[in-house]
Amino acid sequence: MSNELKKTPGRGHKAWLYAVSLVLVVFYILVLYLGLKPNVGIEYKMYYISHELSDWPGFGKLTYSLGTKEICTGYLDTDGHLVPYKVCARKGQGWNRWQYYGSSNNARESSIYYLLDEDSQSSSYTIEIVDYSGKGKVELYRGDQYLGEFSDKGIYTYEVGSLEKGELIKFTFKSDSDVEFRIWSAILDK
Amino acid sequence: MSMITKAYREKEGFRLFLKLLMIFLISRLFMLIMMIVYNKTKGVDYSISFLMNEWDAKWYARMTEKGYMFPTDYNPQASWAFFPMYVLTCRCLYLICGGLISADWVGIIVSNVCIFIAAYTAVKYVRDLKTSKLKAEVDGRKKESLASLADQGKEHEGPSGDGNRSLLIGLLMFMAPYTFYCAAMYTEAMFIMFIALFFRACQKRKYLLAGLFSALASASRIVGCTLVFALLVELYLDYEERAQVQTLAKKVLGFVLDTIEQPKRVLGLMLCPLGTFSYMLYLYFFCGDPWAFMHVQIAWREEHYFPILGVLYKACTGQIENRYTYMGWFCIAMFGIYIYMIVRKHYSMGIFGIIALLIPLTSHVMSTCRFTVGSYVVFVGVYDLLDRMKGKLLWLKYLILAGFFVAEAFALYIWYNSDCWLM
Repeated sequence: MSNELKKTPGRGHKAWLYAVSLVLVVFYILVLYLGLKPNVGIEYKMYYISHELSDWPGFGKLTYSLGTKEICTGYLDTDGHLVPYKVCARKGQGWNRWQYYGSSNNARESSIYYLLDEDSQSSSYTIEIVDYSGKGKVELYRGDQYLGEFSDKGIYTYEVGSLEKGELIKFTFKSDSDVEFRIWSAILDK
Repeated sequence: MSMITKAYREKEGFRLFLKLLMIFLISRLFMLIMMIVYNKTKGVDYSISFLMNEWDAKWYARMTEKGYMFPTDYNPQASWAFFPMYVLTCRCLYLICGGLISADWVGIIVSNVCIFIAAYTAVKYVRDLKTSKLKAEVDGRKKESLASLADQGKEHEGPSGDGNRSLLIGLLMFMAPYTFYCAAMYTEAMFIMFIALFFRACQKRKYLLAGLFSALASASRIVGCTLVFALLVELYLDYEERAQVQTLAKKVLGFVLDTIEQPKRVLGLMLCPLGTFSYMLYLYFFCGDPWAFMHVQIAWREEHYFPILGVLYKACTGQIENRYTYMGWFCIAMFGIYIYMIVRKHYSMGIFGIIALLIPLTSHVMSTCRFTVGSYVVFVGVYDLLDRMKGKLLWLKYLILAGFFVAEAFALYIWYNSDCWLM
């Protein structure tokens, strides 16, 4: 016979124990419900939850001011020191992890996200490709809209059209299967 | 002094405590000797607190000093990956000491106290396990004289009836391979302590208390939540002893009704995941995401494998890294021990061990050696195995123990050397 059975709690005591159990169940359901609707920023959501971003931009740092030139490396150089320039920490999936000398693609589709802090009627997107291999080409899209293509290293500028404040813009590089390229810098300008 | 002598003579618990303390001190002296060996061979002069507190220990030290923090812009790894019970305890002690003791040492003190409590609890657990088995034998074999069974009991308890053979589990918990984690600023020692206390409470059939220890364990590591399955098994076994019905379906139905009728058991079960859920609520207010501890894992590893089978296959066939090949096979061996435990009727422990290992294997084999040692039950399994090696097999028992000792010495050395094999 177990200890508990020997000491059977009284009716009032029993009611309390059941009540506490019930409160715990309600508490667990409430926490699970809160878990369904996380109250987080877009950077957190895209990096930690949906994994759309492969770079962690920092809280509030996905926002972009038009005309800012960003370099597509990591924050640290090969010696582990912080780099002195503005880093393009807004890359989506499709890029290699190691990016000391720019970011190279590791998939057919590689993306970069921008969250704008102002409107623009007419904008352009300039990228610097420092390495290119393969016989195929790379097409650039803004969402589903085709912007242009490149098939060698160089500096390329594409007309992007109008942009709205608070709009999340996704540039996608769709490359042919044999193509590997390395992007050094990107700038979205008026 | 005479009081101590008297207490030693009269109180079995005190004798056990002192003997265990001796083993504990020898094990820690051994760690210090290994520190000297390391410093001499490497031509360095590091302190034990520096050498012991590698990798995640640095996170714990930072959290002890400053609490939970948001990730920087440069590093997405966040402190909320680490569950709060150990951090809270260290931080409280750190603040009480007014910063006079460094965070490193606070962590070392907390871990060592926890593992000692855990070992003491484990020794009592296995001692009483033997005693209850003997009682069961008395019940089952009435023809055999009680005197001969009492002799068997003495054999187990040692000449002074102190449970000397049970001390073996203490030795394992202090000196078996990978137990150095329990002396470092890691949550493992505290987690082990709560699990040991949980199973001890189950053994005494104090299921409400067991639920409380499970809640504390679940505030130390997510795996603590799964103690609810161990508790269910314990409750079922308890019911089965009393059940009059024979068919499985009736037994299961009877078990459910029997449990619901006993509010202490219901509350015990409900308490099991409380620590984790409390932490989730804290995270909701802290960073807005109750699942932040899980979501943050992406910052540590990007590889994705098919859970469990895919992970084990990739690891065991050498498709990841050499250290992970080793860890993959280590996991297979551990599953073997857990199955052995189930065969030996340590049902709840075996099942908990399997679940506790399956959870990390859903993503990777990384750190599974630490997680396995940190889930406590493996000590009971190995103890059971070694304890059965008697007579002609005694040499094997000592050979295994010697092997463990050498392996721990080697592991300590490479731990001091910050080797990634121990990550």
